Amino acid sequence: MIFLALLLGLLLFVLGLAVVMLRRSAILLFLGIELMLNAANLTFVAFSSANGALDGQIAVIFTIAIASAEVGVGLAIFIVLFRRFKTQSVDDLRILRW
Amino acid sequence: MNPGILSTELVLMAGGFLLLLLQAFAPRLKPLFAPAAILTFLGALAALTLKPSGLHLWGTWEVNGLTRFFTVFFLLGGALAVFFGAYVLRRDGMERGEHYALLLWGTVGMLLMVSTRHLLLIFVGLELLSVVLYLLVATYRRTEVAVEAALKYFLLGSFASAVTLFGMAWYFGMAGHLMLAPPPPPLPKLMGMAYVLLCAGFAFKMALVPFHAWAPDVYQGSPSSVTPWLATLPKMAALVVLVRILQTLPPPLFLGILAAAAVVTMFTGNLLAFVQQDTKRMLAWSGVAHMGYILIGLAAATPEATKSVFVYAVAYALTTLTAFAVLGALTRGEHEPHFISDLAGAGFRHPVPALVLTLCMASLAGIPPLVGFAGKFYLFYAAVEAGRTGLAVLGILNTILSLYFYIRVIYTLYMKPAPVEPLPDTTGGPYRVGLGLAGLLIVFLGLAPAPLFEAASRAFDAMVTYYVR
Repeated sequence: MIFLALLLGLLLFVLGLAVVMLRRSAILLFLGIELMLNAANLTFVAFSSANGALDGQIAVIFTIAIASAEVGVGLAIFIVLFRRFKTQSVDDLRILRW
Repeated sequence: MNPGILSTELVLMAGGFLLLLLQAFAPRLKPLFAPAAILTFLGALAALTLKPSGLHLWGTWEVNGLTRFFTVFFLLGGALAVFFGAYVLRRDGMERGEHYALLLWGTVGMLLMVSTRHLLLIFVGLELLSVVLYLLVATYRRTEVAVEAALKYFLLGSFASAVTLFGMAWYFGMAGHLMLAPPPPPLPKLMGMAYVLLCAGFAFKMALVPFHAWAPDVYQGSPSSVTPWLATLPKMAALVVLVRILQTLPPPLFLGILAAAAVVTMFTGNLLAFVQQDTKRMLAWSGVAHMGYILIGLAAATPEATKSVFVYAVAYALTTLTAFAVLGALTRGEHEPHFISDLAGAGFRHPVPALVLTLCMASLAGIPPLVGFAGKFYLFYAAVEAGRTGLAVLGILNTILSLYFYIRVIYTLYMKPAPVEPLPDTTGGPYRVGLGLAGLLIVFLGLAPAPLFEAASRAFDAMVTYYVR
């Protein structure tokens, strides 16, 4: 059972990684990052139940709170970006290079 | 529980909330915001004396020589950054209470990172610091470069945080707890993976190759009110966490990786700094290279080398902070690029900022008798003592390489003829006094580095008492 949960966590992590690598829309990129965070949460919970230590479940609650703070900041930045550049694709950001 | 153990953090938090409320309800007090923020930093420094030494909160909260060393460093650095930032913000009409509140809270994040061995608390500190940094970069929200820099920083930064969190989850699974401690001898295979993932987020904050891609963009794009702080102190907080993580591992496991990372980071930073036209961007690549020198110290892994890393960190932070502060003054405006060639003729027109910038460049290049030289000398000496002569030689070679682009700035300042429209000095008298004092500090710590060495030595001794090899 723990093995399946860990495998699912790993899969989610890789999926998030793939989204970050392949997509070009800022919002989708962030979605991929959220997937990776939740993969970590799942892994925490799985290990927590396997080890019989509660630390992992408490860590998840902290992570969820932190992730939502990050979402707030991220969406604010996305809005400012859309106002300035009229785009949400990271490929259109070309002022800063090398 | 004795509330004194959190005194510094509580003062900083309270100061931040106060400034936020003042911005909302008494915006007319705006000229007092910056002094209030500096007073909060100094008050937090005074509150540090209330902290009783030892391990608190079920062993998660440390108060010892290490945390004191970095607390003092972060608080003084924060006060300096507030001082310089305030003048830049006033020049641009962007001064708001939030800027200072964010700086204060970001400092709390850094203090959390250096004061604990509990991974969850470290992560909370890291995220508190990161969120503050994303917002600070985006404060000039009408400036296109700033928005672009903020977006890039946010995406890459939260990516690195997610990787670190995944590493923490696996560390928790393998070790059975979240406290950073040496794992029992037969190291599980997956523990290595956990450690690599764990280090990623901190390597990102320090801008080590291959996690450095954000640094030049963010340093160039972020407003000059923020860059001096952003480029220096967060790197130091991440460095402390990285040292703590490495301390839990038996050395032979990671020394090869660290040495390779040191060489790659130094060469990448220095070679790319060569070709830059923008001063801020050049300093960003130079910052990457300096983190490479620091990795030499970590790869040497002796007590002396780790102490020299702390000294080097202070030298780097002080010098780079001051250099970015000078660039905040000598500029055509926050929307304009900071070309190195624009500095032509500024040397005689604006003697104080130019002289301080010269000192900074010389210190970064490691020219005696400045603080950068003291740091480099101690670092390379410790590396040779530890039997890492090859690394030290490569480091010295890199130092020679880097002379080119540091001296180029000095050359442009004093030797190039001034253009028709020379750069203005946009920030006024008190700013120049502050720059002068920071320059004096760079010289003074270079001439008399002994107190710094002793403090770093005490910090290290406090760190190792918890790890019996």
